[in-house]
Amino acid sequence: MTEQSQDAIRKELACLFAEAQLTVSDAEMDRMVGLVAENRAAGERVRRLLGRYDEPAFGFPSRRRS
Amino acid sequence: MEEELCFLTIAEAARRFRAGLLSPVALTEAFLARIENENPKINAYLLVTGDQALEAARGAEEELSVGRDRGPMHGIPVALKDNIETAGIRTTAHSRVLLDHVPKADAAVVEKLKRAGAVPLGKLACLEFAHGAPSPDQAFPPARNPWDRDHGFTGGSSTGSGAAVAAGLAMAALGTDTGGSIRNPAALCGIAGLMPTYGRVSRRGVIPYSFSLDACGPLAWTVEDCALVLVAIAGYDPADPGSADLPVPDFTAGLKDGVSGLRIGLLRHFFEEDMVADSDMAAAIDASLEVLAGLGAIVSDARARPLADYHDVKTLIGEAEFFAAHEADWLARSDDFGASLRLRTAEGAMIPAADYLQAQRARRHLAAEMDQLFDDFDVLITATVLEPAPPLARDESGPRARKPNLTQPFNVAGVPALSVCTGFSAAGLPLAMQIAARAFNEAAALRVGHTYEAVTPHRDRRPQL
Repeated sequence: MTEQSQDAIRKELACLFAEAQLTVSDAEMDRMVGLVAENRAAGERVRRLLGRYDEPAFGFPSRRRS
Repeated sequence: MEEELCFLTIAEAARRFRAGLLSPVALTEAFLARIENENPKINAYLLVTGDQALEAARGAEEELSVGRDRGPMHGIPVALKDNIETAGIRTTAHSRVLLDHVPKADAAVVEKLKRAGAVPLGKLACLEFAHGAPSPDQAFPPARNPWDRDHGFTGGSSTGSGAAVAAGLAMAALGTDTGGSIRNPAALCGIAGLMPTYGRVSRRGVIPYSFSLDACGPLAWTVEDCALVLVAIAGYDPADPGSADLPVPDFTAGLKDGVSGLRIGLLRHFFEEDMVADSDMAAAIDASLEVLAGLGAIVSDARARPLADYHDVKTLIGEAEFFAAHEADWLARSDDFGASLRLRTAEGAMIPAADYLQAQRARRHLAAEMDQLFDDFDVLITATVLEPAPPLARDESGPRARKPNLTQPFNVAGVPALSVCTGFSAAGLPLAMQIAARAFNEAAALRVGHTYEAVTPHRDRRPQL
């Protein structure tokens, strides 16, 4: 993840914490940015999983031919 | 005497009721006395509803005395994880957010237990909203593991459910399971715990963690007792959109059929390659499979997707749905969330909709693959946890909690999975294995678990408080 992407996450989190009226230390913010970055990476991996199987998003199993 | 009664199994207590050797009131009184003496050592209960319990026990006693028999749960003292709503009784989900929450209605599972004549003793500790971690700022202290109450974590999130059953403070408890929350405490507390198939048990009145992953099920000292509770709580409920409209079999019927000819697939790569279990845990799995093979089961290695694939899918779905369920409270009163959830709840808000949807698509593939595995195997076995009870003080919200675990694959696939005690580590802490079966085939997992328990000595050993 680029520094730019991390900065974008940091800004988005800051807005969210402000909305929830939460004060967050720098260390806590760093940790949250890390967690969100991990989840974004998981999102990328999940896409690869789908690509690997090349399945359609929707289908009728009962019509599948053996 | 109190200990002797509180360490009975449900099956044995039910037999004694009908033989006139024991009464529901005497049994309930024994549990209430034991809870009063022992609960302060392990904090399993957040709330004991003694008066209501005695009233229910008296009702059961009266009915049984005139032959109105509601079945094996009639007069049996049970307890409820505190994220399961109870009419007129505070339900907190172990959170300051819900300290004043007194539901108007019982959850479907509570209705069903009462209909079966069970005697609810009270509400049990859990991890906050079944998702947080113990922290000193919470409204209640964490439950402690009866096998090591000074240091040992109970496993979560059904912490009090695991602790209460192991310590003889309830004959059975209900828990909920989104990524392992029934099976982890069952494993670390040395008892049996079953996550039923997604949709088998209604979640109406269960405070949600993740709408599409949550399941509700039993924890008990034995597999047979889990089966008895499941019979009472399973069944279709139109008020739960995830509920399956399928007949409920008698889960106790095939328990004694043995395992001869049963095909068991060992998911060894889960705990040897994808993650590495400690040596005691791994050795106990091998020993358990030898026992089952000796009884005629056909054991061979099976292979599923790597644990990390299930973990990614579970995390994206679970965190997003957790935020959806708790967004309003978090925005309005985030200070009332415990330290581990106060910030982490924001994770779910930061998951893009496309990631969530791709995870749901991927889940369908993983579930279909798991279903295919059950063409070749009647049950799949793997470890439940990687190690015996870790220290309670370890920061559960830290990096360790982000690693894949051994229970999530079965939540993602929506299939039933049972944790069974497989013995004890060199330090005297419980070890466990997990037995999973095809969707709606809880009976197969229960049959294997019961057969294993019947020929091994692990049910003879209780923790000393």
